[in-house]
Amino acid sequence: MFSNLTISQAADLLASGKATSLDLTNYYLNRIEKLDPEIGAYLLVTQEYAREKATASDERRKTGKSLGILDGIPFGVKDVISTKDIETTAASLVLKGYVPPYSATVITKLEAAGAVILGKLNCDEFAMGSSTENSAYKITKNPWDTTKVPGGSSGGSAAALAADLCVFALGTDTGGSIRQPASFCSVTGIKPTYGRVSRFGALPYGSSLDQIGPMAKNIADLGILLEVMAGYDINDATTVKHEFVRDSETQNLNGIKLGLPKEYFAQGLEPEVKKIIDAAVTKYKELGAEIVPVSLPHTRYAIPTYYLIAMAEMSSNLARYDGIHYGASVLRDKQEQVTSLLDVYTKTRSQFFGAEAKRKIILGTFELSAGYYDAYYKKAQQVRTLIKKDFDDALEKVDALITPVSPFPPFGIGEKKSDPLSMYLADIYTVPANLAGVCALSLPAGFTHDGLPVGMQIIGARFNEGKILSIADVYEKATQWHSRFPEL
Amino acid sequence: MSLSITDIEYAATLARISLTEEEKSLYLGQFATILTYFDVLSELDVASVEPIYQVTGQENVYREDEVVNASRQKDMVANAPVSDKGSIQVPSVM
Repeated sequence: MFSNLTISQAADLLASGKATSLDLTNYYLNRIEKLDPEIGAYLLVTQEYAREKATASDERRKTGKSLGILDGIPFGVKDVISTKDIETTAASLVLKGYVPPYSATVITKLEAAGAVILGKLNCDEFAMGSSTENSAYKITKNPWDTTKVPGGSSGGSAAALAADLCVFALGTDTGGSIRQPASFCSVTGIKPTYGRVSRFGALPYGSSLDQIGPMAKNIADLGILLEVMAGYDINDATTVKHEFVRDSETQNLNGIKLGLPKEYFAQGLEPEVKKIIDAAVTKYKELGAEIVPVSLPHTRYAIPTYYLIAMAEMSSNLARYDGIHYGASVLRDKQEQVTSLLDVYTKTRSQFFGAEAKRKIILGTFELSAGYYDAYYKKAQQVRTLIKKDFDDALEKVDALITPVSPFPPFGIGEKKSDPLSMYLADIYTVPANLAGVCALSLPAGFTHDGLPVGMQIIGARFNEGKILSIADVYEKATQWHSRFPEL
Repeated sequence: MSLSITDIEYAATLARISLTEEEKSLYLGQFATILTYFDVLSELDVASVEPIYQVTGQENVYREDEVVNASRQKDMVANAPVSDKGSIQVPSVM
């Protein structure tokens, strides 16, 4: 009776007394126990904690003190987001056993609204990757086809939603890590505008690019969640004081202009994905939108620009894992001979970082080193100015941009793992939004002949989440792709 | 650009990571491919373009310099591998 519930549906069951939060929580815990050994979405399931929180929610409701629509709703958290007293590893061995002494601001806000944490979700180590294969702990499988990756880096979050192992989930997005797995698993996810949601407590990757965002089973849920998650936070100096408000529901898109960036439909886009996005564009025309060709001329420079910036920032951010303050350390190993502080750093980092983390740390360090900074990091930041201007210009002419999320449908587990560059190129349609700091979402747009999900991306101007959510909502209601779930 | 094992070793040393010989040669090949691809940026003349470090127009956000984490001090130190009397202990620096 609980299958594939959205937030509104779950909240209705709770409000009408047809179910308690403990019923819902037990439903998901049982499903996780039954299905997750195969899917591998969760790194940690917090059964006791979840039941405690659910019971407390039920008590509140009984005494008429319900905290609102999220009270009692079970959700999963990407493991790069800190949860007080709950192990947080970023899917890295370097944080194995690390129990944060505080929660991320988004967690504090969601728990204050009564939402119930079910556990921590798998991802690529420190959110670096596009397939979740860089996790130090386990492989997550795509519930639509368990030989395929769920995308990444928020692959555990997307897989958990597709397999109905939570009502909603949190992800983070530095270059597409919410949108691409949402597309691969046929769920929804939004990367909010840079500065919209506090990153306090999210383990940082590329600080000028990172955003936390909600992932869910439909577009309406993203709006509900963003309302709770967004806002200024003194602990994240990049947050702004703009308030987020959901737009009122609309039925048609008369007067709305949607831009199709021609560079996103060029070489490299697989024909089956193109066909699905073309069909979505046709649907938008039927729904009343005007389709306008636009150009983002610096698109071909986005991947190198993004990776140069992300790797430089990441190599600086990951300097904090030194074996001294917290997390894994050779100092915990009584057998290890350690002679100096430098020895602790080097041995800890060499032993506990995974291959992709080391690769990016060393490349990032290289490009920041004397003699290379101007040629790489500074140049990338200059090109970033041009990419941002592309978006500012295009989004002055249209209300939003419609693009594919990924050039291809979900690929096979192991298929791209040994070739980092081909993995990086997969991010071509998602990284520009992070570089420009604009908001962008992914929603289900159809399936390939083999039954693999394909998502569509909608990109909006900074702080225009309300508008892109409305545009997505109209399409979702007209097509209902989101209401299909894999048979498990 | 041409990249050598010495470049990899130098960057790894700066990053406080020691690499095995296999890792060095693996990364040499991979880095060369990645950096060659990144060279596409040299097509662009950006001499007159300002670099951008953030996108929302904020700059110099200040707050009062107040101690706010004092209550968590014990928990934070508890996460360190070695501590003594509320302080984190480290091996000798030199």
